[in-house]
This record gives sequence, structure tokens and C-alpha cells, in this order.
Amino acid sequence: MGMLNLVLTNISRKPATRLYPFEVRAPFKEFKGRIVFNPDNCILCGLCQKKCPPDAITVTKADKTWELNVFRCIMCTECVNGCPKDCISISNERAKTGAKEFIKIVVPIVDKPKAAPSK
Amino acid sequence: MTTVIPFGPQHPVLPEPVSLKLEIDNDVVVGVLPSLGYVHRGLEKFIDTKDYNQTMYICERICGICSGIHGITYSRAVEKLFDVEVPERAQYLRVINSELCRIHSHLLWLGLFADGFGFESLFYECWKYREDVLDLLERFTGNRVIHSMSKVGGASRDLTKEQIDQILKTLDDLEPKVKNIEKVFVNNYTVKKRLVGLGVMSKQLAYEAGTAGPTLRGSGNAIDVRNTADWDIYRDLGFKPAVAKEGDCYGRTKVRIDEIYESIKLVRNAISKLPNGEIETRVKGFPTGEAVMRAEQPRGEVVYYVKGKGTKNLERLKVRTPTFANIPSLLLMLPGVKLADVPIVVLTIDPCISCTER
Amino acid sequence: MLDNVIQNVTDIKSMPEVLKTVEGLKNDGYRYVTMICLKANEGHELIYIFEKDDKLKHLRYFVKPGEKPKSVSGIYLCALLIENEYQDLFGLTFEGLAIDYKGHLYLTPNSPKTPLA
Repeated sequence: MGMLNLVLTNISRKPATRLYPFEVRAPFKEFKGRIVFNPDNCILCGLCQKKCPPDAITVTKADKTWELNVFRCIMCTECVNGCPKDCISISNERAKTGAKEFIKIVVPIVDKPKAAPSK
Repeated sequence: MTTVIPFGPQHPVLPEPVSLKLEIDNDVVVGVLPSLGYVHRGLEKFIDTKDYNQTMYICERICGICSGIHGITYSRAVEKLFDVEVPERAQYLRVINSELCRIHSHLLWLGLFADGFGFESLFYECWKYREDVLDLLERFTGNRVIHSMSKVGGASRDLTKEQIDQILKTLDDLEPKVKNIEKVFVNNYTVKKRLVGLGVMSKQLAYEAGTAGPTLRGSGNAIDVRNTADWDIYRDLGFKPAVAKEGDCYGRTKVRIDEIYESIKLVRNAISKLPNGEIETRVKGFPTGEAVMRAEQPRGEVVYYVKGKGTKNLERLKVRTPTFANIPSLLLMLPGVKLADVPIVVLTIDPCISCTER
Repeated sequence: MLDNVIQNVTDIKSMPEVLKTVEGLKNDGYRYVTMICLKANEGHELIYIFEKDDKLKHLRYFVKPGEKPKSVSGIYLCALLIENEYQDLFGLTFEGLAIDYKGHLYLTPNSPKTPLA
């Protein structure tokens, strides 16, 4: 009897898996998907580079660039919490496979005198 | 006449690269020689190049399944060096994270174990339920397995009201499901035939062999670090270690199933007692001195030893992982076991070779 | 300044005394937890950790340069893995190991020698 019950429920039940490429589950709100960098407020202080455990971030003051090695990044959000100007945020969008290895962003520095004191 | 048969490092049953040289006499094992070294990464040396905050992320990557508890234990060890008191809310969040980790690890192990003795559909069931817990962890910490929830001085993520409701709801759904698979593991005739009386270790032997975790408790020793270690929270939550007297594979399976219920209970209690307030204290300065910290992982007791030298890097980090303590017990359990049962006995210590070699 | 030292440490001067103490601990019902090796003053420092009733007990022993410490794996069999590990990682030689991997537990013949030391 228990067996018959099981058979009937299993016939009428939806499969537990999803038909993946056609049916994608929306990512959770809290999911750490990828790092988003907003260059507007960046002062090139280099704190994110210093805090990054896998050395994925490179800040070059001479070229005014901020570079992230996506393949090295471990999504620890140390840089997100450590940024003094809140330039770095995290998006719950899943990073696609086959992404570019480096994300290089040129930083336009607006209020330079305040941020970098004269040498 | 004895024959030597290599078991692993690539074996259909074990996902981990452990290699055993089995000395076989007429289908019965008479001698075992474990050989390691396939995934040695030198993580204890690697900390020389990272500061003590970043080392947390290295510790989490020692193991993929119990990563959360590795990070938490490391954080607690370094907090002991600094002598800082972590806010109570952060400690409760850590307990919730470790217990959810334990539930998902035990469900994973039950699935692998079912696969090990050829019960495919049970394997699917276990992993289906594990997926619910992984979704919880993803909502709570932002990642499925490497959580990065803890940090030196507190927790990096807080629980919202919505997430707490989600956790309670999923656990309520999970409990009857675990009851369902427990019925198969504990009562099924075929499964019992396969497990009872296999790989027996007496209470005294398990204690003297220095085993840890379910291997120790499956032999009737009620030793659980959560019970009395210098972390008072578990006592407040009414923790009781799960013990089985059998000392064989069946007993160790029963311990793990009971621990799932225990963990569900602990998460519920922790959520009901979750205090409000800060989740982080700022830690300043550089660590000095040395400290030993223990915690209970799904696989057993983990021991962290940290020594600071007054700079931002630690001088020495030593991790004694549970499987490291359990591998010598294979030398005692395997002789006398038939060759076909070797994978099952090896699986019951829940081997994690990446942990062992670091 | 080391103000944060681990508690319940016994310093031991000679190797036979270590073996005697460890044997006494086993008769008292202690469980072997692990051993920690540190580099100190040219030599190495070994910290044995034992456990009974959820209390840890530590033994500290200093290995002089060139000295060959004795293995406790004859008393506690489970000590053999950790002692073999330190043969690999610190280049120590333990005498009387139950199973001696001769420095090849983790390392292969052409890998760097004693990487942690």
C-alpha cells in the first residue's frame, strides 16, 4: 500500500530539478555575484589593493587606473567594506562564464587636492 | 599468501584522493598502509605572505565543506590572542552558521555513503534536501559553500527578520524529510545487512586511537567539543552530544543522523535567543603570544594553534583537522574486513583529504 | 612580550623524560590530540597536546639542532602521522616510528626539502 502511494505521488509530482538553460532561478538578493566599481568618487588611495587577500586588485596611480583580476577574485567583500568612498559595491547578478580576465577602469579624479596631500 | 592491492587515489566511491595499500589474504584485509600527499598545498606556509585578517580566507579554503567552521575557529583563536570579547549577537550568528554547515555536511555525507553501498535513489534524496540548506546558506552568507561569514572581531553579515523566517521555515520542512531518510538508513533490511558489525572499534580502542567526532562518538564516547569547550553558548542552547554504542559503521551513521536533528534544534534555539546589538568589535594592533582553540566540525574536533610575533603576519599557524586524527583509526578498523567493504569503512570516517594535507 | 601563553604547560628537558611522561599520561587516560612544531633558536620546539575530560595538557620540549627526537608512536599509535608530517616539513628525524615514510608522506623526491623550516 505504501508502495502504491509512493508511485502515485511520484507520477504526479513535478521534477525536483530545473531545465537549466531555459529556466534560470533568479539569484538571491544577498548573493555575492560580482564586484561593481564606480570610478566617480575614487581617490586612488589603494586601500582595496592592500586589503585584497588574493591580490586581485591593482591600483595604478600613474595611469589613474583601477584593475580587477576577475579570475583571482574570491568574492570576500573586503574591498567593499574597506573602501573609504564607497566606490565598490557588490551585485547579486551571477558572473557569466567566459568573462574577461581583467576589468580595467580609468578613474577620473575630480577633487584631487583634498584626497592627495601635496608631497 | 598475501597480495597487495592499491585502493585509490582515484576510486569510484571516494571523491577524495586517499590512497591505501591493502594487504589482502583471500579477500580479507590483513594490513593497511595509507599514503597521502596528493593535495598538499602548503597553506600553513602561505600565511607568511598574508596578514592576520587575510589568513581567515586561507583557513576557509582548507576545506570546501566545513569551510565556515574553519574560518570561525581561526577568528576565535586570533581573538584569544588579542583578548577581545566578541559581541553576543556575532557569536550567535557564528553558531547558526556552523550548525547549518553541519546539517549540509552530514546530508552530503549520508548521500555519498548511500552511493558507496550502491543505493542511488537514497543518494539523490539526501542531496536534494541538502540543496535546501545550501540555499539558506546562500541567502544568509552570500555564498553556497565558502561562506566568509566570520572575521576577526565578529561577523561580517547580519541576519534580517526575513532571513530568520526563511531559515525557520526551511528547517520545519527539512525535519520530516530527514525523518524519511532516517527510516531507510536505520531500519532498512539491506542497509542494515551491509553496515551492522562492520569496522568495529571498541570504546576504549577509539579513545586511545585519538579519533575525533562521529568516529569517536559512534563507539560510545560522549566527547564533543561543543559540550564543554571554552564557548559557553552551546551550553546555554541545551546541547547534548549524540552517541551510539555500536562502534561499527551502523553506529557512526546513526550518530550523524542524530546530529542533524541536534543541529536543527540548536539553530532554532539560537534564533529564539538571538540578542540584538552590534555584530563586530574593532580589533587593533598586532597579535602576540600563542593560543590553542578547538571547535567541533562535522567530521570531528579541529585544533587551531596560532602564534603571533607582534607583526601583521602570524609566525605559525597549525591546524589539526579531524580527518588527520581519524586516518590512524583505519589501521585498526580495516584488518579483518572484506575487500568489498573497504570503501564503506573508509567512508564512515568521512575522509577529507584536502583537510588532512592542507 | 608573550603575555598570552597557552595554559597548563609542562617544560621537559630530556627526551627519555618525555617518553616517561607520555606513558604516564596514557595510563592516566589522556587522549592524544596533536603535536605542534615550531622553529625556535636554531632548533625546534615541540608542543605535545593531550586531552582528558575536555581539559588540554601541553608538554613542551626543545629539540637541539641535530638532535633526533624519539617517537611517541610506540605509546600512541596515532602520533605516527603528525611525526611523519614534521619529518617532511621541518626535516626532523624521529627515531622508532611505527610507520616511517622517510620524509615522503607529502613530498616527492624532487620537491623542495623542508618547506616550512
